[in-house]
Amino acid sequence: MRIEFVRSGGFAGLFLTANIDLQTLSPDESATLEREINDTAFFDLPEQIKPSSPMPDRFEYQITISSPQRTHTVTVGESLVTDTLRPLVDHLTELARTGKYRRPNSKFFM
Amino acid sequence: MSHNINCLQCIVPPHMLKNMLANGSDFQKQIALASIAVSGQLRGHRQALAESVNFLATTATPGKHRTVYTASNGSTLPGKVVRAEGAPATGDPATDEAYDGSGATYDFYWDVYQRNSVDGNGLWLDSTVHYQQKYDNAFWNGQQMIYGDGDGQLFNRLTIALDVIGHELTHGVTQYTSNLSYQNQSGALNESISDVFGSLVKQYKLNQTADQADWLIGQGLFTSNVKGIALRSMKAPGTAYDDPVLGKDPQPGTMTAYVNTAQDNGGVHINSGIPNHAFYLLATALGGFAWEKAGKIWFVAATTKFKSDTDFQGAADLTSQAAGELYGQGSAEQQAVQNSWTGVGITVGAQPQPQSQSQSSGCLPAALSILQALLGGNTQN
Repeated sequence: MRIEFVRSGGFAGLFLTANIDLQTLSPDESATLEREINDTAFFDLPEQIKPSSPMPDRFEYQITISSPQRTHTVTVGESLVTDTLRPLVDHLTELARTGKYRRPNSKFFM
Repeated sequence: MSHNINCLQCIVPPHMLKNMLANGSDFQKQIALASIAVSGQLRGHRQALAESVNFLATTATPGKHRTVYTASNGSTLPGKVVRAEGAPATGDPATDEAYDGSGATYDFYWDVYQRNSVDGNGLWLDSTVHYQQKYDNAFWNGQQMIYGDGDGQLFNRLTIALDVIGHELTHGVTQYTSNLSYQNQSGALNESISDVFGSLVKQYKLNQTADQADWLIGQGLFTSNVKGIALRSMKAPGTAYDDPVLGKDPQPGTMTAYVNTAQDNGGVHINSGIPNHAFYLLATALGGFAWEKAGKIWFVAATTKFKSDTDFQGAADLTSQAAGELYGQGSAEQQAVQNSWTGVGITVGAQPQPQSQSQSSGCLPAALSILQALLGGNTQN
């Protein structure tokens, strides 16, 4: 399973990104992520969970998860991150902060 | 208080919430419930603010009224009061910086432009510090300021930079005036107005001329782990940071480098580099204290002439118009405004942007969403 994560916006307006192949993580970390993905029923989430009108300086998270069977992308505004989604978002943010999984700049502007 | 409708924009419309509750998946129901809870919180707070503003309108003379709350690393707003107006320093840097910074911003708007607080009517300035954990952001939520502590890894606490506080409170000023729509060019203009006046709040506090100012946004926010001097540079957009984790500062300084993107609400924090740089060019061309002439021209245009859909061309035309009214048609000041926009690739009085520009910015997201829909459709089958 692969995860692509982008946090954009915020006051800083910078892009915090991670491209993660779960096979490259430790078994513990990989299992935790899979549990967090299952807990959110990720593949059943709507593609766009966004406020009706954008708010200044709030974060937006874009998460794409690909398994051999399917790929799903969810874009969620910070104000609509629920308690069930938060552990996954926080975990991916932590991984992105390490810089080990960063995507090249050119891929941001899409 | 009609402007406060704006803060409800974050909330899903009531009819949709009802549908989601009645017919949605479990997750949609959760979203609906969470949205209802938040809107209830906002409503209660708005009521309190409405009462205080009504009270002020009838009794008060201009003056600061600041309250700093702590969320104690949770998400409940506004939280517990930790410093009220007139109370002594607490010793907690975030609390005292939020208090002093909102005071400096109030003083700037009142002393320089005779604007009485964010709404022009003495709105009390509420700030919540210690929001969530490792939260590297600050924002104005339509009624108050909210600051995180930063993650300590990339970001220091968000109150550390005075221009951040000025930036966020200026989002409030914009909300009560032009209400610039927060996407694409009008959104980038909204961001730029916050950067311009955020920087001016800092310059005013430090008593710096345009030549002495650093023209940086968020200087001091990055920890020593980050290769960068600040988040943005108005003097040289695109040069503020270049870091292995965060990438390179993506801001353009001219229209030829304008970035068409669906992310960041159409690049509002990216293309703001263009009007930011125009202001820098004007301020340094006029010399002296930037808030006196350049700032005055921008203030008059932004608070009395901009509309919610004003784009970069509109901003150029309207700031030139403001300069003409303030200093005379054909004055040196008006000429300087026109030169500053020319310097970033915009000609005052030119026709609206060529179609290709607006088409590409609108088409790309549309094409992407079609693509996403197709991909989504395929994977569900």
